[in-house]
Amino acid sequence: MTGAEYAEALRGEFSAVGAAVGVRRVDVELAGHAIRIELAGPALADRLAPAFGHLSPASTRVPELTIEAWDRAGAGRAAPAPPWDVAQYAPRDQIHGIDPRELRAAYDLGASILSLYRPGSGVGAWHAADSASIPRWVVRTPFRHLIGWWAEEVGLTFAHAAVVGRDGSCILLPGRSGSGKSTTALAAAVHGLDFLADDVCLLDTTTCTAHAPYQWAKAEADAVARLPSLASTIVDTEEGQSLVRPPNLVRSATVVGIALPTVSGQPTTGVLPATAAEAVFALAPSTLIEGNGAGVASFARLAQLARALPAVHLQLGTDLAEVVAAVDGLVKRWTR
Amino acid sequence: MRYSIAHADIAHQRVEDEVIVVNLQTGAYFSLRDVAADAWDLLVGSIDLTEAAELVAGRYAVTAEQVAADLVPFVGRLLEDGLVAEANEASASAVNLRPVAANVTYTVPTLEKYDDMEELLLLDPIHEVDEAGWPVVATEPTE
Repeated sequence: MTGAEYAEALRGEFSAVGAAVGVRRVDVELAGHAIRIELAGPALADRLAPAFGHLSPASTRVPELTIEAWDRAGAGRAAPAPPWDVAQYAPRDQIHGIDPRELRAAYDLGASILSLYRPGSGVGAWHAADSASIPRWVVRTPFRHLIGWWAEEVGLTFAHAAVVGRDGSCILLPGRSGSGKSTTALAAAVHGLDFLADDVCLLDTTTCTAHAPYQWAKAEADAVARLPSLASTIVDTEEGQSLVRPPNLVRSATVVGIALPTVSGQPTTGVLPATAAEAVFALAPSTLIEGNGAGVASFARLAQLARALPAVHLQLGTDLAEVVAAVDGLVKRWTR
Repeated sequence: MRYSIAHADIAHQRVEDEVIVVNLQTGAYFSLRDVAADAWDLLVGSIDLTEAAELVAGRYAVTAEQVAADLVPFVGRLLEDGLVAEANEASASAVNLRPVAANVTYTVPTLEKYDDMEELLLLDPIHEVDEAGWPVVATEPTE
């Protein structure tokens, strides 16, 4: 069985499972595109559907991306095992030996989640062993591979960056884990700025627009301690990390600049000029390497965006109110 | 000798006087500035190394011999990191280099490598297949 044939077989299973346990259909509009997410069984739907709760309902038009999701435990039945050899499963959810022109495929070994997408089909298959064992980060940002592959096709980029702003404008805060982007984004939200993302966003580089694909954010214990008002936004906490619904969430905003955060360790926050190359360097490698579907086309789009926008280094101080004031100042300056 | 991008998972973009290269297979990424960026553009455009040295020399007012001597170890690094491969076909493409900025003088081309994200790709849980045929993280290391 080829990978493409297997993908079709899994789709057939989804239809059978859906008929047996029921399907919750989520029709939403994301970045101006109609998205349909079909979740088989109430347990899976309860875990994953809320991530898209902030998006407006899609119009009646035909969905451009349909995701069919089910899990073996929830369905109470086995699924056909993938046709690939065990040696083909590789880090970063990759499955070696598959021609990406025929099939995009990813398998998360830790979470036991398979994602399959036939290029150009607009239909993605998502399958997990058990909805109860889906990791927190998947609950927070489900279907990253599928949305990313589709986004790449339609000219969007699933980018690794936090996004905050005000009055319809926003700035990107790209950075590795530990750069301070998530805490900065949460601090901005609780201080009244608009929040779009703390980790990943969907970018339309032709219109310089950022979109919020998910309504959740994560908050480490340190962030909750430094931002006490976050406590009222916590949905649940697991192993010291909280799932939060940030205040002032907006779905889309115009990107007016890029700020590259670093934790300075000093009390005050500093802003220094950055080059377009530095902005691309902060934004592109992690976007491409972290495996959210972004490929060579996205690299070109991100470079184009960085060339068109102002950029600064944002040296984050320990006073979060001052950090937010600096971010707010940048948004205002670049919006004029 | 001519060279080309090693494979489709090598992504590169020129931004101002810098070329950023990402190896999607290994997770390593690279910065090439000024002379190195020019050399990259020429070499991946399948310009012969000798001709590339002459073109770079003409831009920076140094001798082609000096540039060629510097390009040999530079290309060695590109090959070593799997960014380029030797090209058999003499199919050079037109390469339009940016003008040299007024404050930029010749420096030995270097490849700055960043491997902080390689860890992500090295997180390869030892895995096996369960009775139903699904891959799972192995409970004990397998040989």
